[in-house]
Amino acid sequence: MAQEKRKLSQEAIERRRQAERKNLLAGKGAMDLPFLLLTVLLTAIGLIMLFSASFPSAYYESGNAAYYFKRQLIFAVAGFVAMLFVGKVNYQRWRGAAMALMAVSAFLLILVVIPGVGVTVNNATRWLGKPGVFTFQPSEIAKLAVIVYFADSISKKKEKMLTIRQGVLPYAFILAAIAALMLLEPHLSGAILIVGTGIIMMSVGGLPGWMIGLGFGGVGVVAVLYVKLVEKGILSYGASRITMWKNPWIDPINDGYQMVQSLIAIGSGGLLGVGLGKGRQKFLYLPEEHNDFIFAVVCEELGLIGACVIMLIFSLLIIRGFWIALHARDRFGALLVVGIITHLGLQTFLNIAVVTGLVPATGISLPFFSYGGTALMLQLVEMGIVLSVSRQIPAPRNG
Amino acid sequence: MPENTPKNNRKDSNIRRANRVIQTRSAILMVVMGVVMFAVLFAKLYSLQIRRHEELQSRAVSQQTRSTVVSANRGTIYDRNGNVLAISATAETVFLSPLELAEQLNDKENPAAWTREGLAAALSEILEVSEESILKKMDRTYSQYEVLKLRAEEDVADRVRQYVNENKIHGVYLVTDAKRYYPYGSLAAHVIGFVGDDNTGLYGLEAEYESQLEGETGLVITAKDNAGNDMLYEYEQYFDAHDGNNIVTTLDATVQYYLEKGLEGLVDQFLAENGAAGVVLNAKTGAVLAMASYPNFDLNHFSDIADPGLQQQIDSGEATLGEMQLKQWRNKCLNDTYEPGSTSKILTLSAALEEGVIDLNTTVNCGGSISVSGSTIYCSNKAGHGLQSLKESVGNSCNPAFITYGLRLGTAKFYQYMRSFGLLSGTDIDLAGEATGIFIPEPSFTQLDLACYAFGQNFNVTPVALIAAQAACINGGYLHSPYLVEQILDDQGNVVFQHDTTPVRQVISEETSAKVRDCLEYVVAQGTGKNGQVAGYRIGGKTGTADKGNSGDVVVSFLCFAPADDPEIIMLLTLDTPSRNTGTYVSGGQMVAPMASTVMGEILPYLGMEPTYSAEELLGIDTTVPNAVDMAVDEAKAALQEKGFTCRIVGKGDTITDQTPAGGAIIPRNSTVVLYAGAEKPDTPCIVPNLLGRSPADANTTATNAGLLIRFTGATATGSGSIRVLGQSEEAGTEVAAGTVITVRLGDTSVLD
Repeated sequence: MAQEKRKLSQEAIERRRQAERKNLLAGKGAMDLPFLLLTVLLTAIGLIMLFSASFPSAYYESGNAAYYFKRQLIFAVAGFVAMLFVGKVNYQRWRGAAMALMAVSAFLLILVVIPGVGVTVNNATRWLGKPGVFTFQPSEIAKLAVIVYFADSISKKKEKMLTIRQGVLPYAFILAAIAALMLLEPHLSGAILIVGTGIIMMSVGGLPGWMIGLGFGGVGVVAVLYVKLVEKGILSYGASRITMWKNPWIDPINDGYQMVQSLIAIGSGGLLGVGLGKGRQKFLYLPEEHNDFIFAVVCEELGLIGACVIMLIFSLLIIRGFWIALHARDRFGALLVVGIITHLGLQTFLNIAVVTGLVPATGISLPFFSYGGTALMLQLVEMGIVLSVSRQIPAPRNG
Repeated sequence: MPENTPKNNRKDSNIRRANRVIQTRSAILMVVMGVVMFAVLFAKLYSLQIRRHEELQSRAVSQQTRSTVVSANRGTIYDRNGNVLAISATAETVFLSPLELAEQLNDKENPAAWTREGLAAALSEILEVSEESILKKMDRTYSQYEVLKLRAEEDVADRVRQYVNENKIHGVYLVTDAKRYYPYGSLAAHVIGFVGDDNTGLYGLEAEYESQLEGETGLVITAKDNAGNDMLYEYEQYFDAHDGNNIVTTLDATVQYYLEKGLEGLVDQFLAENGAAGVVLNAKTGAVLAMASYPNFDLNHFSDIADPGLQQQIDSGEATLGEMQLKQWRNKCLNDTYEPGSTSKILTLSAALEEGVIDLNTTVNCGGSISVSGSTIYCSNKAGHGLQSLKESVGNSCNPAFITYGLRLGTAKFYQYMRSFGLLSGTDIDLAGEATGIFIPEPSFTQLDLACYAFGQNFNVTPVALIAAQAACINGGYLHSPYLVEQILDDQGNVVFQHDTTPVRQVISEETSAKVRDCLEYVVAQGTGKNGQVAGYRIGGKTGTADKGNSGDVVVSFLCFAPADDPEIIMLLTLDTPSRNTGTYVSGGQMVAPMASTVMGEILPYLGMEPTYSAEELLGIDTTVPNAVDMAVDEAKAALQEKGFTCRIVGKGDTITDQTPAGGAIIPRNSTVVLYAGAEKPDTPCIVPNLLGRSPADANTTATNAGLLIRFTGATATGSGSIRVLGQSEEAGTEVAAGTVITVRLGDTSVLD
């Protein structure tokens, strides 16, 4: 009896384990609550700041102060729903979509540079769609495609990543092709982000250490060399960008205008800021105040303290993201999360670094804050993928 | 169950290695991206928001705000009785934008309802600006700002506004501006001064007290967006404008008027080439009651040449407008020095008395000349004054006597007194442009120099420095800096400055000063200053006639003060280069003293100083004639005699039917009133006889015979056979009504300086 009973209970335990396993594979575990909450928090704060930053422009342009806010809110809600949906989906399914995503991205990136097809804003042809109704950047899709494809491919290669032929060339080729297409638009900042994310994923995925060191060292040397050459007057490409980065005050009316206005906004915020909604730089002084330079408005209105709180939330989200990657059930999940969080981290860092004058200006938006519906939605979808990975983290074993 | 084969082991270790690599590198990334990157950003933000906060904030404020200037009203300048001498009022500048006008004129779709010529004609009429100049400005179509009229009066501005609105013209604009008004025009022009186009003081008190008068412009700071519009929410900061302080001067508009009238009369009468100057001081404090210089000008049009003589020089090409402007703006009391001549003998007298080298019992003999260091200096009376007492020597203005007094003092003492009297340094008056006198330096000051200085020659002083020193001689010895501003009031009426009347120093003692007054009263009573007498007042004074170098031209002057025993008022008049062809002997006593008498005769009663008449003078004081018509003859006679009048009855009736002069007329008390008792009053006009040169008695008889009444002014001292009529109020030969009072100015034509 007792033996039977034990056998029964063992069967029951086995059944339960199998069920759990099945559930996990189907993606039915609990989502990572901290990550979800931080995402929601950032989205909410981002929306509030967008409203504050955009109402003067919205008012002057359309008479409706809430114009940008409303549109962004709709996308945020849709994005939130999409995030929860994607979170429910077993991330393993993205493996199958990897090749398709790459193909679609390539097609769209070629499409956008065909004259007359893409939508041109400020001399850059980065968008597809109908202006004023719905537009999106193919590079956003390409970014997701690269992350998914790299995660899938690298996770399968293991030690083969140590070889140049297997570990470097295919990825380098893909990155070079995408970067070339994006530079045609031109979209330098987007290309930097995608290439940077790709290289970091390759590095995390198992490139030999010496190669990583050489790569980063090389990038550093090239960057320093470029700045020096521009300063010496030997190179002229991007010269004004470099000059304005080093001292925007020498031409505060034209080339240095945006940087100067950004610094004025940030500096005048001080420790405590002028108060939420009370910023003055957004009144037609600061260009791109609800897009790339929204963080300057944050600094002006909320001060150093507010800016730090927001940076802390970003930091916590990133750390939690990597925590999920570290605990992911498999290499694919881990690399997927590393790719997504790396991209988020790079984009956040570069945006704030540009706004504060730490690096030369390029057009990089701030995740969750900058105006742009499709970008926000896609960002939330990516968060959904991370949440999906978090659902399959094996429960810690109790002893 | 996994098979435990070497191959599988290798595969497992590969997987573990790959997993470990991902784990390690992810952990490193976590730290780099989650911590290091944000630490870098924090450092940058800290440097911008904390360390560079103030710099960047001030840049923010300067670009985000707009400040609108609120102009302050310039302070008002008052005389001592609160009369406004200078005041600011709103005015408007009219300007046009040729660019905008041209745009409307060239607009084919909406043709303008007005024409270029029509607008120019209308504006020309309203603004009193030539039509051509307006058309010329309208042709500068590249410009948006062409001033048509600076500081137009408000009614003119209103008419422009109305015209522009009615005709729907865009491009003619008005901006509010301040304009300075001088209600009295030319009165005290040199003292008050004027402001330039930018409303800042250029000259006179306007310039001297610029910092007090200008006020502080205010600001309204509004937040603006980058397009220049006000921000959506309110942000305004006010810095109030503070109106300029008001200045209460020591000037008395009435005294100033009497003085200027007198100077103008002097210049006209004696055709003085270089004009005249006059200063009236409060003898006890140095307060300037009046200060005038001639030629003068109208402060409201200070650039226009007011004097016909100066204008003629421009017209004839002898001088430029600029030169003549500078000439009319010169305050001769202050900006120019002159050789004072005998009026400065007061200083020699004071010093010598104070030092005890002479006293009231001193006698001195004048032989008509005196020899000093081998040079012979002549007296104005070359026959000599003979033996004179001290008083007589002052009364005679005897040069050898004063040279004697000077030599007794010695060069060192004399020089010291000039310094003590403030001649060497100037007076420190609160008005810009005071010239300092010209003196031989002390080390080279010889006996011969001293001899000349003792009677007022060979050195130059400003009239204002001289009168300040003279005031010290007669007020008890106290030297005061003449001053023009009594009080400064802020825009709320609080006193922010009050003049301190502490004297600079006491130069001579009260006793010496009393002796000086005594001598100077004698000058007017018995000496060369007789023509400066004013009926009813004790006047002290001193005449002066000084050579201007060796040119043969002279400056004649008269210094007087009253009351002689306790001086309140001291006045110095100078007349520069009078003509030698007016029939009047060229001297201060003959030319200036009579006018000084007239001016003092007006100032003293105005200032509330009661005249005290001698019995003889009492006969001549003005009295109102009672109305005797309808009275019985006896009754009328009694009424008139009670007032001091003499009566003459014409006709045989019992009641008075008419009288000359009519009741209510004011005539001298010793006049004769003609009463008509039934007889017809003759209505034939009387012809004014020529009274000039007659003795007072003769003049009186002549006037009475002509059916006129007479009033004497000027020198009143009798006992001198040389008193003659110097002027009469109605010219000889004119027809006047019977009983008209002819005012006759008496003077002593025999006195020499």
